[in-house]
Amino acid sequence: MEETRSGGSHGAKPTLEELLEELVELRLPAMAEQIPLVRMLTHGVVSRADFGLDAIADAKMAVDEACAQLVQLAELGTQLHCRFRQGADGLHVTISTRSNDPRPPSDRTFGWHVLTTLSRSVTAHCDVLPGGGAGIVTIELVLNPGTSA
Amino acid sequence: MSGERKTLLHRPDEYAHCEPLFEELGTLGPDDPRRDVVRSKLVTELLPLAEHIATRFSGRGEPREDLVQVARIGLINAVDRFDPARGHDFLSFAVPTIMGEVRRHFRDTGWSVRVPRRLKELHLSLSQGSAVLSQRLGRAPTPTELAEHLNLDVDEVREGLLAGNAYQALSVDKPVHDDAEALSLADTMGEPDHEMAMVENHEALQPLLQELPKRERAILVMRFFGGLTQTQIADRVGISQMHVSRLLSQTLEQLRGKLTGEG
Repeated sequence: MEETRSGGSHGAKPTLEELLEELVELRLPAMAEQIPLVRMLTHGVVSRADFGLDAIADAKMAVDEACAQLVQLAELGTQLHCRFRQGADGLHVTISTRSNDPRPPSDRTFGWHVLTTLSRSVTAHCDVLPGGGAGIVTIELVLNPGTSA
Repeated sequence: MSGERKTLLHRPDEYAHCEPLFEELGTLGPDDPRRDVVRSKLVTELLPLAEHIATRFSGRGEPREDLVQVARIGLINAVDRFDPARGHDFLSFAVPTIMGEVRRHFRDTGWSVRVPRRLKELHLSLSQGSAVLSQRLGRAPTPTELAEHLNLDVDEVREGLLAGNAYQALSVDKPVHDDAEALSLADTMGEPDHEMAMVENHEALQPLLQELPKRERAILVMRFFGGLTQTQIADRVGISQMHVSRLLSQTLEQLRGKLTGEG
């Protein structure tokens, strides 16, 4: 979009961290049959990060699950926005969509249990849009390469 | 937003003439002879919608006529279940309903893919290589480690792994008698009640778990309630890690459909 530098601090000189950051993004229709595309990208990102085979499979399942939860909540015709960013504590995968049920997904479902089993950490939040009635729901996963065992 | 969506939804007038029909249908009793007339008229008027959606799914190995038929069934279901009193417009109700029907069709027909021999061989060596390395390392190897071990390019390994996962119908490591092995693992594991109690909808989950084939259930329980890695599970069950991975994601997807009431 208009924001071409991943750090995106307006006009200010980017920090070293921002310059070195390799942000990967994908936007696609928030529909169940599009999720395999996110899976493929996830495979690409984590296998290039040289995750172990277990961790690669776990990452794909986690992203699958997060996307499926968000697609359920998404307003018809909106997009799923997926971002992959390497952080000091692991690979951060942030997935969000617009929903007219502005609440984060429940953390007491089996799906959430799946997410917590597969990731180092999972958080969800919802930013209610001005006027209420709709919001941006986000799930953020932190994934580990699984090679330290 | 997506172009396809526009052609589907951005002409709100296209089906506007159906609204009075829906209203009329709502007022007719179940035995009213007029009911069938209105219902048929509605379905006929809306047929292009089913075609539209079927077209979106074409080119995925299913004959187009089959897809149109399935989409039409979805359309009829949508017409029958639509309740204008609930304030939604028909399209935003019908589109997901019809797509759900088509998706289910793909799931039921298995969507099998023929895999080129070269990929099968690559998949086989990746699978054997990862078993050897897992033994040696005590954990699952990375693509780089596999590439070194097999003397392959690391990109080739990455792609091979992706291909192995994409082709769900791949048969190289599927045993001939898939369900013949009466796996007693589920019994030896004990019931994972304490962990499952934390899951709110585990009441709904339990019967679904019971419906799963024994091996799939055992694998799911070991991974999500027993804390085992896929490599450890592969070791116990005697199949490859990639096969475990495939079974797990298939099972999850299946459960997801059922838990959300889509399947």
